[in-house]
Amino acid sequence: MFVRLEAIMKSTTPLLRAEQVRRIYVRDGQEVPACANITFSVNKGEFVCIVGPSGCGKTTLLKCICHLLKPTDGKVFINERAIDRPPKEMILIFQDYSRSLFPWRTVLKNVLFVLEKKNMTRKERVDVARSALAAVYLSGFENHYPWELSGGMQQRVAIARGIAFNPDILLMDEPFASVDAQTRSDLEDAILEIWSKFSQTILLVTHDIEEAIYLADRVLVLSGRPSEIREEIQIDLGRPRNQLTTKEDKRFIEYRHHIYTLIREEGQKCERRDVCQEE
Amino acid sequence: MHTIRRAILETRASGALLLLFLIVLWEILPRSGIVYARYFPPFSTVMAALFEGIRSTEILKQASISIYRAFYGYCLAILIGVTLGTLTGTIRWVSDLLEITIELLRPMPSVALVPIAILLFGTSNSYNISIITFGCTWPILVNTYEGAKSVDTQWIDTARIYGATRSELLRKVVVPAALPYIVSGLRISLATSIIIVTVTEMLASFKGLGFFIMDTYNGYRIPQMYSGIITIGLVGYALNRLFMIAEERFMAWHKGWTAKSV
Repeated sequence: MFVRLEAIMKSTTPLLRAEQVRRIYVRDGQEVPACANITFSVNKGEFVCIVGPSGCGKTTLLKCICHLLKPTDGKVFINERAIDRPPKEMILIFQDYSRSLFPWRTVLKNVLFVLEKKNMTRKERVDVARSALAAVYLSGFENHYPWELSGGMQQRVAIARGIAFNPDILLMDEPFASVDAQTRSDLEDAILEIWSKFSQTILLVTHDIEEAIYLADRVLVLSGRPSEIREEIQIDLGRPRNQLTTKEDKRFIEYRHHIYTLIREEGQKCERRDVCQEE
Repeated sequence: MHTIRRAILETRASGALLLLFLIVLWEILPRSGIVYARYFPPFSTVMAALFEGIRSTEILKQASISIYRAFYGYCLAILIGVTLGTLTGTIRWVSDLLEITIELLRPMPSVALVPIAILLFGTSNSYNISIITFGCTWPILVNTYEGAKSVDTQWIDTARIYGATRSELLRKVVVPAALPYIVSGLRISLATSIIIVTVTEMLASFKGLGFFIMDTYNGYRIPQMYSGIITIGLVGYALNRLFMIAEERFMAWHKGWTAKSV
């Protein structure tokens, strides 16, 4: 049941591939490793989740993947092309939605921002923006300002921006961590809907094990700092997923048990080594 | 428009009463002889001179010259101040390069540079405008700098993720984000522009309200002198009101956003 992925995936060129990505911080003259040796790939159309113990460098990893931060070592490939700066094929959605949207622009203008460089007429841009907002069920809020919306709605606008831009791959950094549990379930289902409707490829980082299993085709479990991929787990739960029935499935519970045990182990190793710090 | 009406109705009853009281005082004190009427004419006399000045368009012409000079210098100051403020606030080598020079030039009182401007420009408009620009640039620059430095890094990261170039980052993220700070600088410099245009005109111009005041003073036309002084006061007041209306219109988002963040 727990299949370790290996050369099977080499048959199709992966959309995203990370090779031995390392990131070391220098703090007070000391080298603090965040990511040690991250190697994995994501295929087109996959929904991959990354989970790991707290403070193991999940945000750092995502920022390195999209080159907002330069990795200390290692390479990242998109369609087998090495990248050295934030590529246009990849978008990162941040955890802190309140700092993502521009408060001086309305919701619609926030989404239009990402289309301003594209070769479209003004009308086309507005149409794309509006349909992106419709996809996240925010039609009617175009002329509101971000701070007039609730947290969940703001995060949806951030997601709408991603949809409007239409990247090849969407990176998400604990996107639902800061919203309440009910909103979180709604957003999880919304992102699954968007994923299938727009045939996206998504790489989502979360600390929530159940969320990872619920959403993903494949879950990557990170070790504690300095982080590596501890294990890759194929999730065999069928689609579409359902908040009630999927989570009651016997296999869901087994995945959960296994991953939780792994993360517990890694977390304890980390504490003993006293290397982990708050991100 | 709603905002104009609201701005005009800002004063409440008690304020209007005080004003009325002061005007009445102004009328009575000279007329009763308590204050020397030659040097401090009653309110009605000054108003008559003012209306005469308006009717003959003399005051209006002088006022428009002063406003033109002040506005020109103010606009130049905005261009220079916002550009340099943004660049120094975002690019390290620019701030390293310019910081000492700016810190030395900034405290220089603009009017101390009058002799230089006269030597360079004679008594043309350029004389006034150059000093106004010098004096008005610094508040705008410093405030823009502070604003640029305080831009939330996640806004910048978001723009970078979506492929913004350096220039787009500055134009579309840094400047709008820094606007609340920039507006403070703009407000200060607006007042400064009126002060400087008046003083430079008093010192060495042959046109404008500052000149008019000195000319009527030298010609012993005292009520006319007062009318010029009042006109400048009114110009300053009107410009400030316009500024507030514009600020309400364009910075409404900021009030809402800061209120929510508390």
